[in-house]
Order: sequence, then C-alpha cells, then structure tokens
Amino acid sequence: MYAGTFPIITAEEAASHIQDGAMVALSGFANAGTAKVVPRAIAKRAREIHSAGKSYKIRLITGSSSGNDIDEELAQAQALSWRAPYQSAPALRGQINRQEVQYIDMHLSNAPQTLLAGFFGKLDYAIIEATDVTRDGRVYLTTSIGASPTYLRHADRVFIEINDYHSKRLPEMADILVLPPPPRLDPIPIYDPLTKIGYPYATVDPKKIVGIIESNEPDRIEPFATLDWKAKSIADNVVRFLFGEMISGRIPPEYLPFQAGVGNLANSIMAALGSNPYIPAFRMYSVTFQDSLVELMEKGKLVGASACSLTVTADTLKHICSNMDFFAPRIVLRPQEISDDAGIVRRLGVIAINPAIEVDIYGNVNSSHLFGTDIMNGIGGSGEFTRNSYLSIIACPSTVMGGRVSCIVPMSPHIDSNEHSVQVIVTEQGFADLRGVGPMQRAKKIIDNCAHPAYRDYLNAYIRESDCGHIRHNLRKAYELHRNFLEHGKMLPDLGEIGDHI
Amino acid sequence: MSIINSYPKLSPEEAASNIFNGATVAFSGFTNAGAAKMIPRALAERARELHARGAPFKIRVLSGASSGASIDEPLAREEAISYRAPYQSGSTLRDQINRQEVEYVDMHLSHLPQTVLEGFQGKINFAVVEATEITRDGRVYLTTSIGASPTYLKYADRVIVEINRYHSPRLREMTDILIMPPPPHRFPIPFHDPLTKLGYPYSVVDPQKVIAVIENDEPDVIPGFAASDERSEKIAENVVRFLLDEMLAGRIPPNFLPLQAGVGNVANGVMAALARNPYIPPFKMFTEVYQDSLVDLMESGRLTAASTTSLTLTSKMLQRIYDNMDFFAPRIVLRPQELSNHPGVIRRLGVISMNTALEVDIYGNVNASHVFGTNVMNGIGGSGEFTRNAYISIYMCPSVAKGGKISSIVPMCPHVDNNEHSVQVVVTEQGLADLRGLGPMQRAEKIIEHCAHPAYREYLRKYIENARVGHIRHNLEKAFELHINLKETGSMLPDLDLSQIQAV
Repeated sequence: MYAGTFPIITAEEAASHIQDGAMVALSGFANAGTAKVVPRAIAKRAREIHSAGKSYKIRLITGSSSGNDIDEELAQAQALSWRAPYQSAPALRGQINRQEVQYIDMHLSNAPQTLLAGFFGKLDYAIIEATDVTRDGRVYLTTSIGASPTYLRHADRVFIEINDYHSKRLPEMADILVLPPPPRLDPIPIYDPLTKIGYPYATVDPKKIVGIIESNEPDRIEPFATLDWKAKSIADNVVRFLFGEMISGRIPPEYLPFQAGVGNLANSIMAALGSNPYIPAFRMYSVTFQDSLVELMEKGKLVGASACSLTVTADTLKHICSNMDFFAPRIVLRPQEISDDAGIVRRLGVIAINPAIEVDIYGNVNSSHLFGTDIMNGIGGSGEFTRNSYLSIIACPSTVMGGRVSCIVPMSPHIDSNEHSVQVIVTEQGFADLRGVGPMQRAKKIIDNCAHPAYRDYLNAYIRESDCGHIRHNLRKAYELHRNFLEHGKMLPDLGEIGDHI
Repeated sequence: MSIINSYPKLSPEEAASNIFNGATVAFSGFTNAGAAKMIPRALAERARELHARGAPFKIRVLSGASSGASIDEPLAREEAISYRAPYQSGSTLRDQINRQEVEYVDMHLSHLPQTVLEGFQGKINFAVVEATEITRDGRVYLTTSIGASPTYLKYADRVIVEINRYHSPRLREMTDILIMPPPPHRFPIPFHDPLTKLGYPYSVVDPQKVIAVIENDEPDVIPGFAASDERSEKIAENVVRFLLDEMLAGRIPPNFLPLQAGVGNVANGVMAALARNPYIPPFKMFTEVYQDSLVDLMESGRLTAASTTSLTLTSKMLQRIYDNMDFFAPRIVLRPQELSNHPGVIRRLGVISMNTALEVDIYGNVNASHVFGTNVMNGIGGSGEFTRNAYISIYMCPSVAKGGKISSIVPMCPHVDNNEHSVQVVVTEQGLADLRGLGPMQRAEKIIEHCAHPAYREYLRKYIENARVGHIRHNLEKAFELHINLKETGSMLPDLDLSQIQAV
C-alpha cells in the first residue's frame, strides 16, 4: 500500500533527520510494538557524534516501557536527556538514579492528554511501528497501541517502521480513538471489555510522513521465569480471597473483569485463577496481555480481554497470529488513554491486582522507588487501576533477598497508591482485607496475616513505641529498617537465616 | 401518636430509643448542610443517661462527609461513637480518634456509596435523613445536601426521617438523584455539562422501613469564614495569574474549564479573585461544596453554573438563595457524592481542581490529612478524586504557619494523600511551581525557589545536598528532622529568627 506513495528510506537516513535536543516519540508499550531500527540508528548516530566530541541527546517519550533493548541501547549510547512516562531498562535506570537523565514517572493514561495539552512542549518526531500505512494516512499498528495515535497526530514529522514480521491481521484487534481535549461531551461508551468504539487504524496527516523504513524483526519479550513456591502461595491466597468474596455475594456470579500488573507474579496469579474450577469464566480489562492468558483463553476460562499491548513471547505471538480466527474476536487492543481510563475502570467494576516493592503497616504502597530514592520502573498503570477499581489488591512476597528485606515496613518511603485506595494486601503468608477498618486495625491485620513471622515482633514493637494518633508513627524510627539495609545489607542486622517455611 | 402521610410521627426521644448500643447509624449531611439534627442530639442525651447508669452505649456513625456541629460534636462529647466513616471534622471527635478511642476510616468520598452496597461497611441498621417532605409512596425530598443519603435510604434496615420546615421545598428543583447500580451493570454517566440532569428530584425509600418521622425547623449550623488575610490573597493572585497564562497559551480553552475548589478560606479567596479578574471569562464549577462566596459570583454572572453535593451556606446566604429560587434553581445541581466526585466525569469534563494542603514536600507529594503523619485533622475527603483525575490539579497552602515556626514545604511528607504522580501545580503566597513534565529534582528546585518561604530555602537545599543520590534524593535519617524539631521544641528550625518571617 505504501510503496510508491511515501519515500522508503534507511534507518540511518531517518536518524540523520533527528537533531540534538529533539523530542521524539516511539511506539511501544510494555516491550510490544516498539519502533526498533530507527531508534537503534539514533543510538549509533549518538555514539558517532559523541566520539567527535559533540553533544547529542534526545528527549524520549513512549507508550510505557519501550523495548527494553531499545531503551538500553539509547541509554548506553548516552543519547537520552529526558524520558517519560515509564521505563524498565537497567542502563537507563542507572542513569536516572545518577541524575543523568530526567525521568517523568507518570500515570499512563495521563500521558496522551499531557502531551496534547502541550505540557511536554512540542513533539518533533514520532517513530511508529506499523504493519501498513495507506496513501490517505491510515496507520495499522502492530502489537501495541499505547499512545501512538496521539503521537502520530501531534508530531511535526513522522517516520513509519513497516515491520513485516507482524501479522497483517493484528489490526482486527485494534480499536482506536483519540479523545478530544476536555471538556469532552460524550462518555466513552464501553460497556464490556470487548466493546469497540473506534477504528482499526490510527491516522496521520500523510504530508508529515518523512519516510518509511522497512524492517522484519520480532518484539523482544523475555519468557517468564519458572514459578517459585512463594509466587504460587501468593497466587493461591489471591484465589482464596476472591473465592470468599464470591461466596459472600460481594462479587456477582457473572464475575467482574480483572486487571493484572505486568510480571511473573501477575502471570502466576492469572494462571492460578484460571485453573481454579470454582472461579467462573471471566473477562479482563487490563493493560498488558501476557503469555499465561493464551492458555486460559483457549480453555474458555478467559472469554474476552481488553489490553493495550500483546506483551507475549515470539512463540506465543506466532500461536496467536496463526489462530487469528479464534483470538481476534476475543482480544481488543486500545490506546492507553482508554485501556487505563479512570471512568471505565470504575464503571466496569474492575478487580485490580498489582505488585508492590513494599507495603507499609497501614496499607500505603511503594511500587516504584527503592529506599524512596532509586527508581525501579515506575508507577505505570497501577495508580489508575488501584485508585478506581471495585476491589484493589496488592500482591508481594513478605520478604525478599533471603529474608534480609521485609516487604512489610513501618512506613513506605515513597507512596504510589495510598491507604485510601488500597483495599487488600496479599503475601505468601496470607491476606489482609483492609476495607472498612481504621489504621490500627489495618496494621494488626497486615502484621499478623501478611508480614513474615520473623519481622512481626519488630513491627509490633514499632507501633508500641510510636506516638499515639489516628495513625501511630515514630518519625525517628520510621525508616530504621531501610537505613539498616543501606548500612548493613539487611533490615534486621541480628536476624539469622529465614527458613523457607510459611 | 399522630401520623404524617401514613408515617408515625414521634418525638426525637421516642425515635432515638429504637437505636440500640452497637448499631450502625447512617446520617444525612455533607458538611453540616442537610445534616440530621434532632436525632443526633436525642442520641447524645440517651447516651448520657445510659452512661450515667453504667450502661454501655456507642454507635457506629456514617454520613456523607463531615457534620461536625450537628452530628460529630454532640455524640462525641457523650462518648457515644465507636466507629466513624468516611470523614469528620469535630474537635472532640478528632481528639478521640487521635487517642485511639474511636476507629476512623478516612475514605475517598465517592467510594462510600459503593462500599455500602457491597456490604463492606456491614449492615446499616438505621438511616436518619433530613428532608423537606416524604410522600406516602416513599419519595424523600432531601434538603441542602444529597451526600450518600439516597444509598442509606435504600440499604438501611430502618429509617427515621427528620422533616425540616426551615428549608425551602423548592430545593428539589436543584436536586438530581440517581444511585449507581453495582458493577458490571453500570452505564456511562451522560453528563455533558455541570448542569446535566439525569435522575429524579427525590430519593426513594421503602415506606415499610420508615419507623418514625420527626418535625423541626432548625437551620443548618454553618460557620462564616474568617476575612481573608494577606497570604490568602497572595495565593489567590498567584493562582489567577497562572490560569490566565494557561488560557493565553491555549492550554485552557477560551470558554474555560469547570473548576473545583476545596472548602475553606483559601479556596473562597481564590474564587473571589477569579471572579474579580476581567480577563477570566464567566465560568462553571463541578465541585463538591457550594460555599458562601459563590452566591455573589452567581448573581454577578461570573459563575454561570455549579454542580455540587451540598449547599454549605450561612443562614444569610441560604436565605438569599431561597428568596431568589427562580434565579438559582436553574443554575445549581445537587447530586449524590458518588456523582459529584465521580472520577470518570471529572476526567472527561476536564476539571481544574484547587485544594488546600497541610504540607507539601519538595517533590510534590501532598499531606492533606495527618499532622506529623499521626494526628488526623479532618480527612482526605474529595481531594483525592479531584486531584487524581483533574485536567490541572492545583494545591495551595501558605508557605509557613504559626508565625514561621512551621514550614509547609518539607523534605518529605509523613502522610501522602496525593502523590507526585497526580499533583501538577503547587502555590503559596511566595509564588507558584508548575511541576508538569519535570523530573523530581527539577520539581524540587521549583518548589523550593518559588513556593518555600525564603527563611527555609537554605535548609531545604542543604537537605538535598546531603541526601542519597537517586531518581529522587532523600536522606532517610533526616527526612523528618523538621517534624521532630517541631514536636520537641515547638519550632521546625529552633534557631530561626522569626522576625524575618513577617513580610509576605
């Protein structure tokens, strides 16, 4: 379709347009559908320019984490000065934590609106992966939608990477609509995770397309690690809790849609829900569609899923694309502004399940910053789902690093979702249902049911020695565990090895 | 016993005698507006008598939001409350909560009705709701607040209605009531404008559940606001300048966006300043509380429409509305708090939210509820739902309090109601920090240089210099040094010369 309409150029040619200081948007959400060859050429160009002693850095915005390998390569080439709204690449993380790259860690559904409003400044370039682009500017995206529709619309100039690797049938899942700026008159008419309200393609003013770059390469999605016993116990506890809710009538028999965060733990929780015979078939209104969901869908346990990306390994993607007649009617891929929309999450009554780095005894969750200082990845979509869901569940192990770190602490040094929004905490030890109870009652439940037994005495003593108030805290000792870890490599220096028993 | 519209008419004492020790009682009232009045007082009396005889009597109290003078204070003084949700504001109750004598669940207000219908609050034994009328078939016309009353009327086992003759029966012309069904059977909420109506002018109750109707004619107890001070006016000026700039830059459309303003003097001052500015076009509000200052603005044509869940007005102002219902009724909509504070509607309408903080940290995290992270002031209220979903979220506070002994800009907040991911603009009398699109250290610089009081800037800069390097810089040894100093010496910086603080 595009041949003869738009100039076909090399990645190097494309990169040569992009000047020092430019604001560049890439397609890509949770490693899926990332522009690949042009960013790599930008990294190469940066290295060349740097070795000539000149400066070259761009400002980079994506859907969420772009391909880790892409962020990694750009970071290693010292090519980034500013990054939003999410990242998960080790070299980039290091640069952010050394204050070499400015990083804006944002609620993902807000990114398009923020760009549109001009708060990020002018968007110079969008580099978007697609399966096709038509003469009149319809762009058929690949494995993620993310914020690409907004970037295509608002960038001054556009490069399209046509990736031949991807199935031309992926657009059958796409449902794209760019929300106008507020005040928006119409509610978003999504009644069900599978409701479609838009178009299978994004649009771009064809005059803005500088060139097409041809590529043929898969997304690089790491397979999930095999499950350890802790992840399995956490998953079992989530299932046990949800089953109890169903029995007591607080979840309707037709069930409510699930959202699950990214990663091993979420993957294992979904697998556990799927294999439980008492949990009825369910839907998902989530952000990433991950590997474990394919099997659930084929078993008929997962009957429909709304997502923003197909973050699946190459084998799984092949499997989906060769069974498109089955999968296409069961998966909808949406822009992140809609997959994470506060109003829809609230309306559909989503059950949100997200991981945490640590949770404090009152239910405040840190999901982004170790010690309150070092970024891991970012808040991502966890804030919008936790804040607006019908049931918000936070899952994490009670300890990590062989027990040297407790994930239940007196006070979280960074708060991504607070006690006002977090309803249920689950660890391998058990779960704490925090709904309708005050702070001290929450603390008791979290310590007794979720903290590792080896840390319970410490946490109880912390409360005893705290100032009395609605919430009890001792501001001198609130971060003693964190400081101990920074100094001694363990939160409780005198604590011996913790057995693997529950 | 006489009958009103087929319901038994009782004295407050008779009606209150039904309410047993340990009962969960849901009262009408969002702020003191539309709060039940007679039953709380009768219950307090009953508690006093029972306690004097050594008998226990404590109830679990729910309401729309705070209802300090009408509900919280009289009951707390008699130690008659064991549990309180979702918000409070009485000084006696506050102290009991902070002494751990009363369990208090400080909640996002729009969530409350949903948690009631889910059963997370347990069984609601009684609803006590103020109304202007109840019909034979169970239509209840509410008074100056809607709050969560429609939900309480629906889910309570037994209902007591306080018919208040003081209030204008024409309040129903402003009222728009709808209870959201439980998920997943919810429809999109088709508000196109703060004034869109989609429900009924009354709430409904199963008439068989109504055990008593009580009559009275008492006004709401709404205190007036203090005259605004120099600092509030400076803050207001800074907010207006920012909004004008946003309009000029095209980031706010020429017909403006709906405003939300928190409760209190600072918010009142900002609204007045906005109205005075000739370059700000007439505007609308999508907010939770309609306060005194808005009456003038509406009459002068500056405020053209307001959606709210309560008319929190002094008697004088409320009377002005009652005397001009033909003018006000088409310009105000009173909604349940589930809708007045609904995240989806706030997001879609592009609300500009303006709320007040106790303190803000140098990275933009806001503490709006807990002094020292321990002692609750009031609660998070609606600030979380507006800040999180607003098109532009603004937080305001004076840079210092208590003559400079307290800096409202601190290294780290010991309680976070709204975090750096949601807070976009911080304003003090010193100036304004626009945090959009900036990383943490860039935010810190703006907040310290533009918002902190000059007397505290050096300390805050030093805090960062000595902090561990990361995406965010913190020193976990000293993060709360200012708070600890304040607790121990009465001043955040004991050596600070307070005479340099006086000038704004």
